[in-house]
Amino acid sequence: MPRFSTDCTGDGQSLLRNGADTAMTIEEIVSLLVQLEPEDRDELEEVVSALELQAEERKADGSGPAVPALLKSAATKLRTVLAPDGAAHGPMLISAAARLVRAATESDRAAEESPESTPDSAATSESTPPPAAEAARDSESPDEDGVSDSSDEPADPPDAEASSDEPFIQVEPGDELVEEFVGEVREYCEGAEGALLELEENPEDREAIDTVFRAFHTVKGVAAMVELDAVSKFAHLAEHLLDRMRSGKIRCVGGYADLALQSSDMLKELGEAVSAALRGEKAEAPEGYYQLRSILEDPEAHGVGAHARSGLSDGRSQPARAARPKKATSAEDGQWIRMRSERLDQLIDMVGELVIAHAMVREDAAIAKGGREAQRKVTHVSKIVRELQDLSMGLRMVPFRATFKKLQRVVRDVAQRQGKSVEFVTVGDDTEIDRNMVESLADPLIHMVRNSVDHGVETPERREERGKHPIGRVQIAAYNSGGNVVVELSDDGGGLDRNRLVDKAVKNGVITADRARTITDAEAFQLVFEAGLSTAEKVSDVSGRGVGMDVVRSNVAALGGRIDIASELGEGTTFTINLPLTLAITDGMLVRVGQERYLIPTTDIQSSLRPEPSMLTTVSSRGELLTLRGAPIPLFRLSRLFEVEGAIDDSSQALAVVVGDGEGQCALLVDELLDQQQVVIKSLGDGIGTILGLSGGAILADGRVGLIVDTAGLLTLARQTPAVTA
Amino acid sequence: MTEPATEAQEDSRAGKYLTFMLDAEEYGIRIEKVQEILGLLGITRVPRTPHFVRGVVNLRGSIIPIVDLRRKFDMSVAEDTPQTCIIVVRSHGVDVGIVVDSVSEVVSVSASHVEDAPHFGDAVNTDFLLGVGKTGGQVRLLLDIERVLSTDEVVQLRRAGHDSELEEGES
Repeated sequence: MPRFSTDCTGDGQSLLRNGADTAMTIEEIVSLLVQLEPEDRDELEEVVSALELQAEERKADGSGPAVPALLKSAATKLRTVLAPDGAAHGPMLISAAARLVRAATESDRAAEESPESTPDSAATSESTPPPAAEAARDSESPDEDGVSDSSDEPADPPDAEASSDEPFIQVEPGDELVEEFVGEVREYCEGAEGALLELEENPEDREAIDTVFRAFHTVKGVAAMVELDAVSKFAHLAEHLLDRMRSGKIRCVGGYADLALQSSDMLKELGEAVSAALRGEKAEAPEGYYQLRSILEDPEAHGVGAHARSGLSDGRSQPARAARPKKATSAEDGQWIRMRSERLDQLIDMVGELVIAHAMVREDAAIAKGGREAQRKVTHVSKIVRELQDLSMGLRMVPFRATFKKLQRVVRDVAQRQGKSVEFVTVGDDTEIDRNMVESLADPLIHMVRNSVDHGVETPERREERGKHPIGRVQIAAYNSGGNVVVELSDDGGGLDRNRLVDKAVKNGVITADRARTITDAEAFQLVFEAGLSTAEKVSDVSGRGVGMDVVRSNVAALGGRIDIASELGEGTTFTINLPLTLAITDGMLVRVGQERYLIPTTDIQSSLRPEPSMLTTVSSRGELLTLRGAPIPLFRLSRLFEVEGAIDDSSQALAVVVGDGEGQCALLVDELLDQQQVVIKSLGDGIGTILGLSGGAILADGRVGLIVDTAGLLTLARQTPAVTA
Repeated sequence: MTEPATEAQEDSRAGKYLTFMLDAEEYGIRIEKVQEILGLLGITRVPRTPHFVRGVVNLRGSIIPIVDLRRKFDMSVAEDTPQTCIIVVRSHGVDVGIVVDSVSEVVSVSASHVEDAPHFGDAVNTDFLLGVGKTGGQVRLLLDIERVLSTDEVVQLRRAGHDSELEEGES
């Protein structure tokens, strides 16, 4: 606004209308556009009027259709910004408009320099005005047949190849707009992929078709906006395919379903190519791009049909023209935002700071003196802070759903390639896990699922021989168990051959022949994690890709997890991944011992009691014992294990906290239970290292560090510490 | 490695130092190593750590260890005073807090004012010293704080008079 609003404040519109060519030239519009924000509605409206006026004038003075079309297209874009829900894509649209206007000025100049050349060609080569309003609003109807919907825009037929000497993708390295675009493409394609997989189950799922359609449609619009012709043309063709499904001309089955999936993949790859170009690398057309494009242009001519998966035509050729579709249902725009993960971490840290700072205010003596009114206010703030903390801690937690969707895709692909039928069942996909963990878990899971389908599930013939249902079953389940997250992957395939595993391990020198004789089943199954030990009878194109089972184990171990295997030869295999919540939040009971405070994970605590003298016995060889419901369990004094002075010495005056179960059950003697707190476990840092009996630290409400007791480690420590002399 | 002072190092030892008091002596550590200075507040004792580790504190959401420099140097233990404070230094990429009696000032030590530690003779273990800074008539021991903190042992900065043998803080 700077220049503009000072020049003609107030009645700018009338000024423009009366003498647009003197008040605001195209050049001035360009320079104004770069300064405008979506919020500058008045200025935007004025620019729109000016653009339309200019367009009319250009049309009238006979300088050719290109310039007016470009200007009009820019005006349409800006109108989209002004539309009720247009602000979301505002900055993108405004800069796209600015580019269009700039293209118009260049086209203008070209026309002036060489009057002979047709302004049309200049316009087409300089910019492909996208179907403007569609980009931001999904509710608009898509184009028919690849011709832009506004007839006054220079059309760009979908079969026009980029000229051969131009790079496949041309972008300014580091262009933020394009960077944003790449992120969007990825997101939309993942959404489309999920919906397409749902469509496999139910090809009539209207909502899923709409989701895919919208994804392709939006990618097309945005790609056009950032002038990525190759992407937008491809997205257009993919959108067209989906449009046919939407209008019921074809069903999302067989070859059509494959084609739609391949298109989604190709768009994702195109996104990656753009991202490579952004980094300044030379962007090549992804493999199979041109082929897929020509199939999409006329699937039936390439033999793709509802029944034919590829190559074979079912003879029913359908016209590649779709009816104008009905308006799409409300767009899901604005429900998600992407943000840098560091910012999220920062936010979570800051909320932690706030909680601590607030606790200090709450505990301040001045507040206590301030009377009821002050305390009431502080209590109110406390409630808000507590909710904010809960909210922020939940921010990093994500459900397994997205990961499981990816796995579904893996199962589908591997099964199809090997001619197997596999039913993939997911259970508990809303179980939440720290997003940092889910990322490191994705690759191992993909590998394991691939293995299950590849090596686990047998071919349909083999299964029938064995008297099983021809359709194999792979199930992945996630659930919370005792403060852990458990992911269980099971198949009803051939199971692991214990003896073959052991033989192979001996042959490869992984274990000795002596060891092989005494090895237990569970230990034998763990051998699949040894590098270089593959149980597959034959190496397929599926195995040997990505990470091996040894990497799976080390990845899980790096997360502090453990994998157990149970398998029955001929019946199937179950992998159980136990993950601790070390990256997540834990509930802890704050206890006091002397002047020190410790946190005991609530999930470890069975009960707490004040021991009666009759319950206590001392055995010289085993130390102190607490008899609980008739059974004696060891009693350890936290003060002694942690060398704390000033703790209560008389056990009957202290409190016993019973932790663990079975063999590991014991009672910890503390002075007092203070408070239950939800905390984020933090490592004590490289400076301190690991300490037996402690799993880490946490920032307590008063800002001090509280140490978290590792009850299992404590037991080990207690066994090392000499027994108490009575 | 055990020779801290060579010709080439002369220049690198010049620069700004944060100086602090420990017992009657004034020490300096390179200002670049210093992250911040904290009051002596809220240290949580950690069991089963060397006695010179006072514990850990919360530094804006991160947990950092606190080393008591008096105990690290095997000096007499003193009561904490209002001047006692924690200097947070970055050692091998990790933040560590060190407890000192008081922080004095930041001084510029020019190359001409840095001398090698051996001027003290055998009384001082030079392994943990960059050198000695002499400015304004004051003598300051310039500590190689990363070396001090990277050993798990107690550092015998001053050697016992009768013990002229080389020993690296072995206790």
